[in-house]
Amino acid sequence: MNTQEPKKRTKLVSLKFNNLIKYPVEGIKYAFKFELSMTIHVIITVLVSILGFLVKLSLTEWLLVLVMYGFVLGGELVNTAIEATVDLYTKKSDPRAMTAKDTASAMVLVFSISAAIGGTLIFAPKIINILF
Amino acid sequence: MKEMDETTIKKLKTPPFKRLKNSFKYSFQGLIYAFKYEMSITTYSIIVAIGVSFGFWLGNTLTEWIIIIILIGLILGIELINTSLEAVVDLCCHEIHPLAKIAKDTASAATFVLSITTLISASIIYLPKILDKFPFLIWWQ
Repeated sequence: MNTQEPKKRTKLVSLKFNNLIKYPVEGIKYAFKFELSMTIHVIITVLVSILGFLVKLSLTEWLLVLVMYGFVLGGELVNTAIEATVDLYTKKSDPRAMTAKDTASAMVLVFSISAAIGGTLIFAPKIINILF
Repeated sequence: MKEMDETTIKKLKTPPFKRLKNSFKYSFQGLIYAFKYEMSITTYSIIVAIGVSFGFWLGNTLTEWIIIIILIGLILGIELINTSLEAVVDLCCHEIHPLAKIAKDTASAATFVLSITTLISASIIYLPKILDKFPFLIWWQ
């Protein structure tokens, strides 16, 4: 490895505000194009939002639902990033690469399980009230 | 995208249903790995079990349950991503390097910050109820 020091940041505020928008948008575009699970998450997000308008969630419930959307989609993007980092380093199968990718996807699994339980707790009583 | 690397092409060639099945399989493998070899995951699970049983005992409202579940998911997920990042750093860099130190330290700082915020919100939810059940705990009155 090279003996490269971590670079010191000279400017506190970067004037290239453009890049702050550009690269995230590129990442989101990539994830939408090539990640199947991202597409599935977005479809579920849209469906849950429509259901939320139908059963008339309160403000607190909308906030909780939005937090859940945020961390599931963000976790999916971080998972994509870690997979890309591992692929960048090695193409061969390696136990540490395996650990890295598996635990990154386990994170998304844990996030989506907790979001699913939270969403059920929000929506189930309302749907049962409407149906029966 | 202008150019695609071979792993992306290989990923796109597998049928979608198989990809989904594989991703579930590997996720469960990762969970099992983390529970086997990571001390902090075990610790958090014990704390989570204690918190959930406290919730049943003190009778949380629905909103509080949802918040507790979100917090549990966040904290376990961030712990898993910390494990994952440590594995990535170990994979690519075998000797001591300042950038590797930054990567590992900030990843564990993320879990630290999240556990402090979780601790604060859990005490905001639970403390008033505990003080209601045991009024002698307010010794200054």
